[in-house]
Amino acid sequence: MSELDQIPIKTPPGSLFNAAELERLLEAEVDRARRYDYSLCCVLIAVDRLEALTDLHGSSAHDEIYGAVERFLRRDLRTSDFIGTLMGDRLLAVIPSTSRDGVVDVVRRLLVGVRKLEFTSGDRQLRVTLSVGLTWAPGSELNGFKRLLGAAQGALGAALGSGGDRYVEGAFAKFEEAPAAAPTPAPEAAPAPAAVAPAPVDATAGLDPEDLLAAVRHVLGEHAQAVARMEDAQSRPSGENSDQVKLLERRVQKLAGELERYQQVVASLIEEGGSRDDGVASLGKIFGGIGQGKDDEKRKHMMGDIFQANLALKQALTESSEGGN
Amino acid sequence: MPLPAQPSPETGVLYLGIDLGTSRTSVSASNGVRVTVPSFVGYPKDVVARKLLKKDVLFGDEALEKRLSLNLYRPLAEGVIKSSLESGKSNQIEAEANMRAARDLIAEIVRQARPRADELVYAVIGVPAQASINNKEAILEAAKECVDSAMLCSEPFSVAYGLDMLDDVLVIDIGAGTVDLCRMHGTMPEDADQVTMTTAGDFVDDNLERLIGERYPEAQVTRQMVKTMKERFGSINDNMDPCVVTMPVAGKPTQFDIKEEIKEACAAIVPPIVSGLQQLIATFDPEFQDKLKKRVLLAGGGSQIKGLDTAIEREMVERLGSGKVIRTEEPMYGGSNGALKIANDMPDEYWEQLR
Repeated sequence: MSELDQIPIKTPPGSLFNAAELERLLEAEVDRARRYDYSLCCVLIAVDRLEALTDLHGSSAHDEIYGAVERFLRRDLRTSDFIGTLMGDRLLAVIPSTSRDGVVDVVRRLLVGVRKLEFTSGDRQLRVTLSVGLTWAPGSELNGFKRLLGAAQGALGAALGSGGDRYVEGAFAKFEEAPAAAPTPAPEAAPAPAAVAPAPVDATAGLDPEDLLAAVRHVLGEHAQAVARMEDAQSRPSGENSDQVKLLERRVQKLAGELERYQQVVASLIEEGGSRDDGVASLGKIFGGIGQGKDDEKRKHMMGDIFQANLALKQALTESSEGGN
Repeated sequence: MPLPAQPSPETGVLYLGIDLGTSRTSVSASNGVRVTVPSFVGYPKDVVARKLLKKDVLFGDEALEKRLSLNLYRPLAEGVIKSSLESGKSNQIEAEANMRAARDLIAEIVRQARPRADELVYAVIGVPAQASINNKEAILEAAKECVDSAMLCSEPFSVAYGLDMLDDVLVIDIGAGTVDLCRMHGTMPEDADQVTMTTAGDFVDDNLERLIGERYPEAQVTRQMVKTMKERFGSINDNMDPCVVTMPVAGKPTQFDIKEEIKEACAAIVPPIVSGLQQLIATFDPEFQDKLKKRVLLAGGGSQIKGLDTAIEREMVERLGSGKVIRTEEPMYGGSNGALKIANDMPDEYWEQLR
């Protein structure tokens, strides 16, 4: 089995080449670059929170967003650059014979350009951002496409883990035994942490409050259902379904972890208070209660009035039921 | 796992905001659950139906779908429980059945909010602005068995409260049974600040059914079909696309364009709404009347009629000189979200006193 057998390249619909042939072409490109000593850059691209957006707005939104980003790449890159799609909704661009600085300029242009794309789902306007991992290597140092791709994958993980909407350049290891240096994040939209290690992908990164609320509700619902199923399974005679119980326990644990993460995100949003944009403030309104707005005194009086009216109503109800007896 | 900002997570309280509507009942809960159920309750007609359905009571769409096997109730009319509207012994059985259906509907919506077994449930329920004391007592009576503590609140007020629009706002809350208007001026609205009218969604359905019957007498149409048509096509825009629906004629599905009927039926609610607004504006401090006209909030399921905001604005300009109407972003949950916010903001000791 060759090294490239592991590269998860997807055959695009309508493509003349199957995945194996595409992989062979990429390997040939690496060989050519090494022979003629020109540089090669591997750029791996992910659309931030695409999975969450698909959950919330359906697969048609996914196809629209993914398709638009792909078209944008094809428009923006040169015809001599290779653009492919990978499993897991990743996009791959292989840029030959371009300086390192030139590639960084291209990637910056992509990040800015995609931020301007607009999508709609129902009445909502959606915007997306990209996470990009790139690896550049001079021709003389190239030794297989898989190695180039592997370094770009690590860099992409770092870009996603540090919040998305940025590119991270991964160090290319010429020799197998040489340890890869930690990737260095290059913030685009907001200042990034000084050093970023690859971290688990945060599904809430960049979610606007409405989507975040929907995501919280979704997870709460899933969690409640899993708990109910687990309790049901536990109530049956032991031994009969112990595998199922174990499986459900793991699922409940996983969902509880996810809820905890959302809890932290919601808590931090509420902590930020009412000076944020309307969406965030409305999230605070739903969960926050009295204590954040400028009309607190007014509201307290209103609560008192509602209470008094309901107290009178309750007394009338009690009197009428006693009268009836 | 409770969300962090629940007001009193340590006490194990689930707060609910309920919009008990003639057509749909919505709940927003402090655990993040939001559910809407069509306000239909059905009980199997006989033992055979019970055996077939395997349930003692069905709700919402499921009840509608199986209605031929059910005694079907829509327990609310004009925004309140039917039992409190009807008087006389002849209606006693029907009234009791509606009361039971309302009770079951509230219990179902509370169940769908998924309270934990050990949680107290405190609910604020929106009622029409001018519901009578009898109406309110009936709703409270129905709710008391399903929740630990309940309060009632004017529906349009809860919409405005939920959006933090407490000053100089006119709220129009269009439901199926009632259109509620409420003048917000920084204090709790009183009777004089509120108007309730019955020219609401059901009124549009009545009109549409009549107009279709007049124009296409050969077509067979049920009330539910009319409601579905309205919800799909409801519009009073000048440039409407054709509204092609299928209705059976002598058993054969036939297509009809009901664009004109839709437009006429929907437009009929505009003049009464503007009359109500006029009444509230004209009795307000003259110096602040213009401010009110510029902040008219359109909410409720009926606000989804396309072009309604523009039509109300146009009528306001004609009759009141000016007007600016804003739609709420969430017509279905505006009332329940606001009620939830009231429930959240209500001090615990008040809830305790009403238990």
